[in-house]
Amino acid sequence: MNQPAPAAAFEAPAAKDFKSSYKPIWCPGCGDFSVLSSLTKALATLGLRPENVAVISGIGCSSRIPAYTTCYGFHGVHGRALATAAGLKLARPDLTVVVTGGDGDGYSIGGNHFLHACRRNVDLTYVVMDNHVYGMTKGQPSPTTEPDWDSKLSPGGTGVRTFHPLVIALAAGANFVARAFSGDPNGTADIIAQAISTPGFSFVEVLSPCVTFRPEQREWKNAVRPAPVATTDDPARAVRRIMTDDGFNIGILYSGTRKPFQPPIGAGTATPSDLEREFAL
Amino acid sequence: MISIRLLAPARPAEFASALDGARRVLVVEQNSGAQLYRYLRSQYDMPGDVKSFARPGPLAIRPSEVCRAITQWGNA
Repeated sequence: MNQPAPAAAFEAPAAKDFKSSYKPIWCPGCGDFSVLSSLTKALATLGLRPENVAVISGIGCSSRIPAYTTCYGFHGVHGRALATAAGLKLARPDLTVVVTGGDGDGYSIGGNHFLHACRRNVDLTYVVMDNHVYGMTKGQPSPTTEPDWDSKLSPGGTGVRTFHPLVIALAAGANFVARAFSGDPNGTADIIAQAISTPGFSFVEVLSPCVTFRPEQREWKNAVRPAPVATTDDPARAVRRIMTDDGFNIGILYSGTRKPFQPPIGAGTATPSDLEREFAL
Repeated sequence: MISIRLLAPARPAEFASALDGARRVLVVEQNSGAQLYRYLRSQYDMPGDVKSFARPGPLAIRPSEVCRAITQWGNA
């Protein structure tokens, strides 16, 4: 039920043209507000039009983003956003496809899809808003939660080693890997724009505080810093850097040149009736 | 055709505007319990006759199924 603006308004798309009439219902102070603004700014900066962009998501607070945009969108099944997005991109390579989600959706429920999306290198941009917690379901530990994070739902901490998404993305074959911080909306917009512009699977991990269940993350703004090294196209070097930093180096950490996976599309002569016959029991 | 992008929060004004002039409303969903139909009934005043078309997966709902449901309803 988005109310699209008149076509004339999109002659020179601005960030506001990518925002829908839905008012986000995230908690006050949530980093996702800023990521939404960064995403719309990036799309405007690239001169894209809402009707040429699809935003795909799974389930979670951050996965509500598609409806907050005027782009095509799909708020799908938990953890399956990348599979849906890959299918869409392969069928409609003319669309710019952006996938949004959180750390639980992407690294736990959708962890297997994450690995294989990196491996396939379909031309997608995956923006993960990582707050190290399942916020929508009231604060359970996620794959990126610190092992000693003590809470009512995890007394004494989980004791489980954290998932390292950037390194895993590199090991699996992602073509672009970056870390951003929601408290730096302009920098995040620039990174997302470059991620979209880079062919292949681009992965942007955005540190996006959950001030409700992880109020200590308000201090992230004092911890983040621009990565003190230039972007590399050597995945081994990028992995070593990421494995040895403290998780707060911001910037494009790897940008490669792998050719995206995009098989040719068939002639498309089948009619809807033909397709239905294929699915008939 | 109206596609709802978010279930919550409900937006009665926009929904009423989208359904303005409708005499019949067919709620199409893929599950066995007609959850969306019941949710819409609980959240919105929908105009005219309202009917549910719901069936579980795994096979996707086909265009002809929806077309048939509309046609049969029209002929009823």
